Amino acid sequence: MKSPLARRVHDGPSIALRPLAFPAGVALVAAVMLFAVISGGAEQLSNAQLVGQIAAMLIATLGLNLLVGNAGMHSFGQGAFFGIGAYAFMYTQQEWNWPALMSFAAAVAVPAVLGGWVAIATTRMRGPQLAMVTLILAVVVQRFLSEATALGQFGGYPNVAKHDSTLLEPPSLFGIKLEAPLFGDVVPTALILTVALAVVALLVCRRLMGSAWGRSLSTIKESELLAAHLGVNVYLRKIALLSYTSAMAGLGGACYALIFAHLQPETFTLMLGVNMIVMVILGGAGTVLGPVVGTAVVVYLQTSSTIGAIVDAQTRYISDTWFLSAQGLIALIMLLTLFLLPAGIVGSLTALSRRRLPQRRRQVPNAEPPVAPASAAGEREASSGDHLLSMMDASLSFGGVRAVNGVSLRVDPGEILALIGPNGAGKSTLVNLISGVYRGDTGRIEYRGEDISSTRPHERARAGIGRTFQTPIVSPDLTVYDNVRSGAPEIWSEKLGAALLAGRRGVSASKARVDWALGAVGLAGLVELTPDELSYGQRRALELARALASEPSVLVLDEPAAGLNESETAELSELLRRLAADGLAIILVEHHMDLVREVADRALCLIEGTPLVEGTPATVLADPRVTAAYLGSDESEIKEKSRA
Amino acid sequence: MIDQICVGASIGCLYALVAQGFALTFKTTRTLNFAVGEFMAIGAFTCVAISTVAWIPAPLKLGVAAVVVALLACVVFRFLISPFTAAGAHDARWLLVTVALSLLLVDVLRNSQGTTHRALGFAKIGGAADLGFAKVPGQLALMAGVSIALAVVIAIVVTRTPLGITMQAVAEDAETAELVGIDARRVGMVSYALGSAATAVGATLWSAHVGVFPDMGPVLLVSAFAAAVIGGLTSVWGAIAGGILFGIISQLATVWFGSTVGGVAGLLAVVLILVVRPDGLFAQRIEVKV
Repeated sequence: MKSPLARRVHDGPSIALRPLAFPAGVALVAAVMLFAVISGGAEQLSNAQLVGQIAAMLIATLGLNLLVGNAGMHSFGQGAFFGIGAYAFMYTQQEWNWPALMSFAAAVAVPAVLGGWVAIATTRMRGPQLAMVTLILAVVVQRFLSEATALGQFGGYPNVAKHDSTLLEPPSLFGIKLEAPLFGDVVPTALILTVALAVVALLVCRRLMGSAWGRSLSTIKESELLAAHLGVNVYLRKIALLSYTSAMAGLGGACYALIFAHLQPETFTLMLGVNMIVMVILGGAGTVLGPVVGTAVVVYLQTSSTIGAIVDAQTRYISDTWFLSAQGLIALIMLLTLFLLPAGIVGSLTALSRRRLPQRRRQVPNAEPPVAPASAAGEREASSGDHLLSMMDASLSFGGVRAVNGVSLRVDPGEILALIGPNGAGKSTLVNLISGVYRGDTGRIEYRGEDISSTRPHERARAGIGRTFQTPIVSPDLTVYDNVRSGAPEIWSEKLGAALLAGRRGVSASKARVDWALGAVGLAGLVELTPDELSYGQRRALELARALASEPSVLVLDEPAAGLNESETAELSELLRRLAADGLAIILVEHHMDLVREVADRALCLIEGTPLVEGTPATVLADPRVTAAYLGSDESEIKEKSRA
Repeated sequence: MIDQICVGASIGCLYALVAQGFALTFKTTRTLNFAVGEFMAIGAFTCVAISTVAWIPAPLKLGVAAVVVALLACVVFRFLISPFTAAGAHDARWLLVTVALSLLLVDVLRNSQGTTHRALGFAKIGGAADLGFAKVPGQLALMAGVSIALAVVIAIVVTRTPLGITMQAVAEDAETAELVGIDARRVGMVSYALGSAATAVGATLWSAHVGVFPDMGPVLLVSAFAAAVIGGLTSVWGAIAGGILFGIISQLATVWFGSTVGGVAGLLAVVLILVVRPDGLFAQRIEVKV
């Protein structure tokens, strides 16, 4: 077995063992820590409780990290779910004498259902509304826990008045009594279980982050619209995510109940939810080890004498009225972290090591793409007689403005259709109609002979309609490689359960396609960079590669040549022709007329949402009405000219 | 029953005023100040501090509180909120900053001022205001009257004056507004100052009723936030309606089912409203442009 430290020493021959290095390292650290506090006897009891509290909290903050760090959803409710889990476990034990396993199930299931419900309630909201709803939840839970007489109010639970004891009788799991670390002469089995669960939770979260499912969270964080266009059903995924993270909070809460064998309502206030966010941010949101470091530091600070000493020092040397106590100090830590260490402790360290080892991280051999996989368009034949994609008489108005007015178009495999027209002609709206962002007021869209007018973006993406955006949308959190990989179908097809079980192993399915797409757009040598290290043209290429990785039949490109230099445009032109030759249908929105002339089979010119001319690029571009439209003549002039 | 509705509506007027502050800043800056509750407490404590100065008339004392809080809001927006929105629409660090600020301020207030409820020292009136169809405690009526008057004035300013048009421009598209010479950050700062100042006046009058204490913030924060969300978070008139609605729901639930249910009934109503109309009752959904 190898610890992470050992790995650095000799890197070569241990490739087979490398996947085990991280789990083994984590398990080793946990085991050493456990041994230290257990073997110490009564003197070590407070340390044992500290370790237990950190481990229990960690299970919750690991979940919160997925939410905040990966999906960019800020929740103040993790503390509330933690409390619900704790009380669910305790109550079913104390009142109903359930088997421990069933109590665990209840502690996980109740928050999971509630979390899913919060997701359903908030899924169409943007911005701070999720934070708001979780804040409301935290307040409601806090009130309920402190005011419900069945839970003993401020006497805690269990309490002497009702249960003749303030401590829960140790439940037994598979014949082993789960003893809390409260007495010196017993082995704290509950502590061992909690630490073991925390280790498993950490490994599972790490696996999830590396999975296609985890990558879909990063795309949701960057843009829900992007996620939908990659085929992800954002609605269902958010429900799954919040259920899962809430379940983790509940499990952590159950462990907390085991460690202390007693619950006080004032533990589970809104402040707990805030503290958990501090833990995640301080440690490094979105990093695997961030929650571990953050939780350990914050819990240690809260329980150790350090905070007390700082408060004492303030009252002695500064002022005995104007000082900060524990809560204020934690808040101050949060503020300082956001100012000085925005990536958190682990995130900053990672960035530092990345900067110090640039060569090793960035040189990726084997940039040459393999043979292009057969394009999907070739395999799935369009049904006889119909076009692959056709739009009939589509119109869409915003308020009083007709953005698209009676547009019909069609495109077949191997064909490039160019949409041109001056700014504001409705080209982007048309693209949004095709990809499903908008639904037309009238008209219909058929794809492979089926009416898709009322389907949603993720359904169209799954069916094989890929697109790029006018302003590139890429995930800054992912590397170039992972950005392209997020185009591959597994991002929407992988289920949470599969991601938990298979994780990193299930990535090879689309590898050939991703490598080919990277090579096709000329990014093969830059796969380990992050998008912000790329030029604008390269970010456009990245988007194109991501769209290609989804194996589309129809590719809709919204101004792909905007901002490209001459040689990049030439490469793009070459690539588009090659893709069309492989059987891909391409709809190209473009202002770059040389490119249109070079690659397009047909061109359609729009003006003010209405089709003006359609035909070969040469005829369309030579049409005086088109020239007039681009030169900005007003409508009457155009009409005059067309009459003449 | 009608009395209770009027009492609820009166408290709702205060929620409306605070909610309107949220709507103002969210409209123009896409941010909210989670520390606004502590700002209100600071305003009230400022009034306590100057309550013994006899030569300042009571309305002017409220004005002092408003100015202090407005300045504080400007500083906080400039140095704590604005820098943490730089990374675009996904940047939610401002949210964490204001929550941290709220915890920090309430801690300082507790330590320095103690947790007991102190008397405001002025603007105390007894008796009941008779509205003809219902009776409302005079203290509440005063607070409600001033709050709703301020809220209506602000709503008119925001929708009808040149300043309001500037705000609307920033709300629609801050980048384009900057191109035509509007300083979006200054507009944001004005929104913060305006919203916070009005809020401080309303909350101080409320504290004449319930006393001045460091933890007065959270109660108002959650209710007002809920009211703003009901109203749609960007609508200044919606915030007024949302506040009054929330006040009435909470009051009636308290009378009928006790304080525990009353405390959460309004919040649950908010969640229900959000499920049906995710953008609140009075805001139009704006589509994302790509």
